Amino acid sequence: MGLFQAKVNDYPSSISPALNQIYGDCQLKEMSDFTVSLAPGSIVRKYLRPQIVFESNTSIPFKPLPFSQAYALLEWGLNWCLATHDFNHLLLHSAVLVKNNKAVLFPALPGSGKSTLSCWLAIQGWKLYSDEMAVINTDSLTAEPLYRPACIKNHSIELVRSWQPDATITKVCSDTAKGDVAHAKFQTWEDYCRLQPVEIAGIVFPKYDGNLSEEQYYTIAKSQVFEELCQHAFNYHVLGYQAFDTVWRLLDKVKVFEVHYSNLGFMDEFLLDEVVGHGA
Amino acid sequence: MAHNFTFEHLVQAINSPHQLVQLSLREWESLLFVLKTSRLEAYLAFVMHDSEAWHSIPEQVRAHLSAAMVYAQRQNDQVFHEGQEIHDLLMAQGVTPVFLKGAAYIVAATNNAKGRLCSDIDLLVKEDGLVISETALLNNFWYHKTITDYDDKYYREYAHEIPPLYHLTRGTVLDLHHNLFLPISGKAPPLEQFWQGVVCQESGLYTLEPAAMFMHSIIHLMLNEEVVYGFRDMVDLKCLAQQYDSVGFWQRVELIAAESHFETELNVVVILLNTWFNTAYPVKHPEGSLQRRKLQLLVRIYKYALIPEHPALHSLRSGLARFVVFVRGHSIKMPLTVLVKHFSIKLWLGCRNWLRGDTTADAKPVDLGAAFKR
Repeated sequence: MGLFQAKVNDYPSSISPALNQIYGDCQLKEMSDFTVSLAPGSIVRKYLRPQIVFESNTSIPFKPLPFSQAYALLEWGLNWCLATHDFNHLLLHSAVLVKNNKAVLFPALPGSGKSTLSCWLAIQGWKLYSDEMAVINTDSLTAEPLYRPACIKNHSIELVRSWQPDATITKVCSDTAKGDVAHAKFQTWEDYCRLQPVEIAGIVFPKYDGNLSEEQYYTIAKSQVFEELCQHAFNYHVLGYQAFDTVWRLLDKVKVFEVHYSNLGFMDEFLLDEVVGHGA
Repeated sequence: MAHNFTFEHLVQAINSPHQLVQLSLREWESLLFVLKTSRLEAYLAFVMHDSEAWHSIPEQVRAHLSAAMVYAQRQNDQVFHEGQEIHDLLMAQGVTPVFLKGAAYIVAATNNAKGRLCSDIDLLVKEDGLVISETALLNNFWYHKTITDYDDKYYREYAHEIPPLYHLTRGTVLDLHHNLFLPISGKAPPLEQFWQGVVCQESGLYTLEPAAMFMHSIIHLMLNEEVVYGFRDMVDLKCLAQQYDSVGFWQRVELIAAESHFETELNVVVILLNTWFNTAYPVKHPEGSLQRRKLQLLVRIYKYALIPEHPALHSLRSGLARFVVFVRGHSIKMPLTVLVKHFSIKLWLGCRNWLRGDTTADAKPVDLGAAFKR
C-alpha cells in the first residue's frame, strides 16, 4: 500500500489476477506492517453458497461475504487495517488528488460521485494520492500518498473504461453492499515512488447532479466544515486533542468549497483556477 | 533471535527489552504481530519509550509502537474520565464502587498501567448496593443490550456480575460485580479480606489493596475457562509482584489466598512467574503427595495454555492445554447438573451458528462508514 505493507498469507486463487494487477509491481520491504488472509467461512460454506472471511492477525472484523466479493473484501479489509492501527496520522474518509504540488481533499459523501471524480482527475493528469483515505501528517499538515486503487461502483465502471480504454481495472464484483464494485489504478509503483507528501491547499465537497444546467459553487462556514471533518475522521476519537488541533490548523490555511457540478471538465478547471493554481 | 519466532522469544522480549534493538526487521515483524494479538504492544512500547533504546529502534517499528501508545493513552484517559463519572454517580447513592483489573491498574497507576488496554471497566460493589447501583446507572445513560432470556438468567442466578452495561453515547462497557467469582460454584471467596483493604487512590477512586489486587488477578486468570489474554495477565502479575515485593505483601497475599481457598492457584502463578521472569518469589509447597502432584500438573497445563493464541506460537500441546483449561474452568464454575444443562444449551446455539457459517456472530457487517465511528 506504499506507506504500509500488508502480507497476504492466504487467499483464493480467484483473486490472484486482481492482486497482481493492483499490487504486482510493488517492491517488497523487509518488514510487513499488517498480515491478512482471506479464507472460506466454514467447511459447510466452502461448498454451499461459498463465503469468504477476512482476517488480520487473528482479528476478524467483518461478517463473511459471498465468495465472489473476495477482492473487494480485501480492499475494505486493508482500509480497516489502516484505520484501526495508524494513530500517527490523522485519517480522514476522503479522496486526495494532487496537482502542481498541492493537494485537494474530497471528503466522502456517499453518492456524491467522489470516486468517479477521482478517476476522471487521475486520467486528466492529477496524482491520485488516495481514493478512500487522506493520511495527514499532524505536524506538517501534509497529505501522504498511498499506493491503493480507486474503488468504482456501478455505472462509473463503464464510464472510466470509456474515458481510458486501457485503464487497469479489476474484474467486477457484483451485488456487494455498494452494488457492482471494481478497483482501478492509475499509476505504477515507479510513479508512486516519486510522490512526496504535499501541502493541502483545499477541501472540496463535490456533489454531482446530472440535471444541473449551470455549475454552482459556494464557500462554506469553517465551523460547519470543522464538524464535517471530525465526523469524517476514522481515528478522531483516538487522537483526541491532537485530531482537534490538526483539523483546526488545517482549516485555518485551506480554501473550502462545496461544488455542485454536472460537467467533470468544469471541476478540473475550477480546481486549477480556485484551489491549486495553474503552477509554474 | 532465530527467524522462527517462539514463545521463548516473547518472554525474552518482556524480560530484556533493551536487547530488542538487536532485532532485524523480519524479527520485529513477528514480535509485533504476536504482541498485538497478546495485547502487550503498548506495554512494551512504553517500556522502550522510557529507555535509551527507543532511538535505536528502526523507524518503521517505532511507528507501530507510537501508534500503540497513542491508542493506549487515549483509553487510559477514557478510563479515568469514565471512572470519575461512575464514582460520583454511585457515591451519591451511598455505594462505594471499587475498580477491578485493568481499570484498577490504570486508576492506581501500577507499573503495568501504562499501555494496559481494557475492553471493559470492571467494578465491585457490595451485594446490598447492587440494585441501587444498577438503577442509578440505568437512569444515567447506561443500558443493557438485549440478550437471550437464557443469558439473562445465567447472569442473575449464577454469576457474580449482572449483564454488561453499555454507555449510550460513549459505548463504554461496564461489568458490575457483587462478588469476585460465581456464587453458584460454591467457591466464591469470602469478601471481608478484600473489602478490608480497599484503598482510596490519589484520584479519589477506590481499588483493592495491592495484595488483594494481585490475588483477584490470579482468581480471574486461573478460574476462567478462557485464557485468551492469559499471558498479558501474567505480565500484569509480574509487574504487580515486582512493584510491591516485600515480606508484608507476600504474607498478606498468602493470608487472602488461604481464607479464600485459592492457595493452589496462587502457587501455580508464582511458580510460573519464577520460571518465566527469573524471580524467586516465595512458594509454599503443599503437604501430601496428591496435592503436590495436582500442583505440578496444573503448572504444566498452564505453562502451555497461557502461551498467546497466535498462529506463530500454535502447537498441539498449547491447544490441548487450553482445552483442559476450558473444561476445568467450566467444571469449577458450577455444579455438574447445572453445567450439563448450561453446556447443552450453549452447544446447541453454537452448532446452529456454525452451520450457518456465522463464525463471527459478534463482528460488525462491512460498513466502513460506520465501523470506526461511535
